[in-house]
Amino acid sequence: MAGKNFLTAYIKPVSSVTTILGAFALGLGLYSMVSIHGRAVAKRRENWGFSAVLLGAILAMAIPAIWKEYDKSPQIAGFYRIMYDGGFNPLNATMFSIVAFYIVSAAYRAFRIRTVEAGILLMSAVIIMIGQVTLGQLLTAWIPNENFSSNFRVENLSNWILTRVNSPAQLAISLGIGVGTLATALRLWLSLERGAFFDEEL
Amino acid sequence: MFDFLSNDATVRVIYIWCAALCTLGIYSILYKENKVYRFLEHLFLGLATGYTISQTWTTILKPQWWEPMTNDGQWWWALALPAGLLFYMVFFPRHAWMSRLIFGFFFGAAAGRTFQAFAATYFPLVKSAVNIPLMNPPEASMPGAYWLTGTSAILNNLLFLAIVISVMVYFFFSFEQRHPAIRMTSRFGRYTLMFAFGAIFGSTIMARMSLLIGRMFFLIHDWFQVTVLGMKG
Amino acid sequence: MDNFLRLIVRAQRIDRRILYLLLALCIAVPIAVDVPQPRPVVMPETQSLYNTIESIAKDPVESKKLAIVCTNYSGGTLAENQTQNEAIVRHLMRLKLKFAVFAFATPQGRELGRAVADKLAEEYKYVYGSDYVDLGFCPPDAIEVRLKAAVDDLPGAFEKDSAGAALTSLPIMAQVKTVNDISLIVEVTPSETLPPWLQFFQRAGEKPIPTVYCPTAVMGPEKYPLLKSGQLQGMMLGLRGASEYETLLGVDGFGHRGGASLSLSHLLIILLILLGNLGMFAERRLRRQQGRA
Repeated sequence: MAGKNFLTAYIKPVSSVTTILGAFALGLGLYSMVSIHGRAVAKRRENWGFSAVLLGAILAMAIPAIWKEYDKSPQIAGFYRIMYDGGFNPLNATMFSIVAFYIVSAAYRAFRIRTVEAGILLMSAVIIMIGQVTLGQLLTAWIPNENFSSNFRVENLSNWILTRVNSPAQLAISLGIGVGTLATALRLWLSLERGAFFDEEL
Repeated sequence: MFDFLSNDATVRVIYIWCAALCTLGIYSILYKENKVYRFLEHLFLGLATGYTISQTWTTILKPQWWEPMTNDGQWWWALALPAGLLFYMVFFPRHAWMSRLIFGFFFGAAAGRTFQAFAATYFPLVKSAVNIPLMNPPEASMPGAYWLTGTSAILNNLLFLAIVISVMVYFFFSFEQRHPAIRMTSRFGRYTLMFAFGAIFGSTIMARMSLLIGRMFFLIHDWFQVTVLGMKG
Repeated sequence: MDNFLRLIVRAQRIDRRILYLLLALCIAVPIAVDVPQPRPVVMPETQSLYNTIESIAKDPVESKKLAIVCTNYSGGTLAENQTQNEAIVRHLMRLKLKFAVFAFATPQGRELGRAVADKLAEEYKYVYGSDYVDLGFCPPDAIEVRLKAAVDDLPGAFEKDSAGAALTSLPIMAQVKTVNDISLIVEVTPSETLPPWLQFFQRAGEKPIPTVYCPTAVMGPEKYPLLKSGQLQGMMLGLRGASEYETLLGVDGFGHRGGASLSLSHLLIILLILLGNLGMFAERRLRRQQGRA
């Protein structure tokens, strides 16, 4: 087991306290959001209707979700289900998925091979993309998957790029990030950090 | 009046229709900017915030703070309330100094954890980077090995080392890279970084397409074929 | 030749909505028509993940321990992470391995992970409290301390399940006391939530706990060094990885059904990139010819 010391017994209480204090911090973002949109509604600013929708949606989701913990009636559960599975989840998934369309537009208009580096990037991307789909794998499925010839199958080529070229590059990047994070933590601990939160009057 | 909400089948039809309308409404932005999209965008933000509030209460504060304090006699949890409210002093300029106490606690805890985190994450990584055989690789004696396996394993390992070193040299900004050997190494590092970024780009495309496929599957299969046309699921 | 070049250059100004429609068709047609397609080639990292879980099931000591399935995803990445989660949980249930559902990045992850476990529990006759448990949600800023506390006293650190029942009252937790009673860590996530496990939990016991990773495809490439260093024992990369895993399990899930759409959409992107660059070269050539004329 990891080395124990006189402070080990306090890990559990610290864990509980940190969990609860962290939860109290939710109100910071909530206050900002409600105050901005609340002011927009109160002063009838442009598009205040959308702000009212936002505030209404907060209540429409929070109230049934908390209420169903105390009232097990099927009507409350059904209403929550509609808000969650009919509103929150599909909107969440659709917002993420819309980026795919923008990628298509960018692929046609913006991805240009103007330099050697861009050429290498796109060549690597194309090999990875072909290697990770079944239609692409079919292109080289006729090559025997043994001995030297297997290196020319597109999925093996894609795997070679990921494990032999991408992996060491990512390792080097993450080592640099790790050292930087450690240095920042040390500066924080030794009160060497400067910036908006540390030495300016609030 | 709301008895239909207790019928599972009815609720399912309602939420599938709501989900389909929400999905199509969001996709309407692809044609042009419109009020339906703005309405759904604000609706989503509100629902997400409401969900976060409810989950914070039901999964953290209620079982771990409120119930132990009120039902289990652990009265000392009442002290967590003024401690937690210290966060909100940041909104009052005269008392904002109090918020530094609690922010400082979290900053310090994060800084302290970084030391163990660094050792646990990076020591095995560095060990794996330097502990690669440049002679008699184990791949040469594994099942399926042929006459070139050993040589290719050694070449791959040499390439691995070369890439790690050259990428680290590329990121050395503390001094000017004037010597031709260092500039060449740095350029090789830059080219191998392009391979890595290309791999990330290719993977990102797959990720985004997968999410779109999920939504399209819902629209075509779950909504149109099963709910609208009544086909078997 | 010049007419062809002018056509290519004019095609650069195509309305973006036509490109969106092309993409939508590439994805929708294989779904609507249910095109039969070949099984994907299984990549070494996916095979390694499968072998890891199989070897745990075959070990008489490890198979009695608890696996932790950490479902840190939300509704935004359902298509990838939910498919991966279903494949993993199906495999665990098929091998009769006990597991716990947990989340710390987003509370929705716990709800989604639990929904998958409950759905498959009916099929594999799994009983909540005896065969699987829900360890609830922990806020992200408290996870490291929670894992450190769980090293020596896991039921004490998590205390209650998501319904408020004391973990010590559940039969599944009877033999689970410390980190040494954990057989496997599965992390299903679209974000950077793997480090706390590797930093504070994986190597805190008598021997390292096998850890497998199921990220969305975008997170995958940067974790390959962890496979090499032995910190990860397997990886299921995005929807493609889920499709490969379904191949190994012999099931037809969403991973397999989405394969044809994935292929067509990728080929469309490659074609558009090539056409776009062709347009750039055509424009340059025409400009050079006009300069000479």
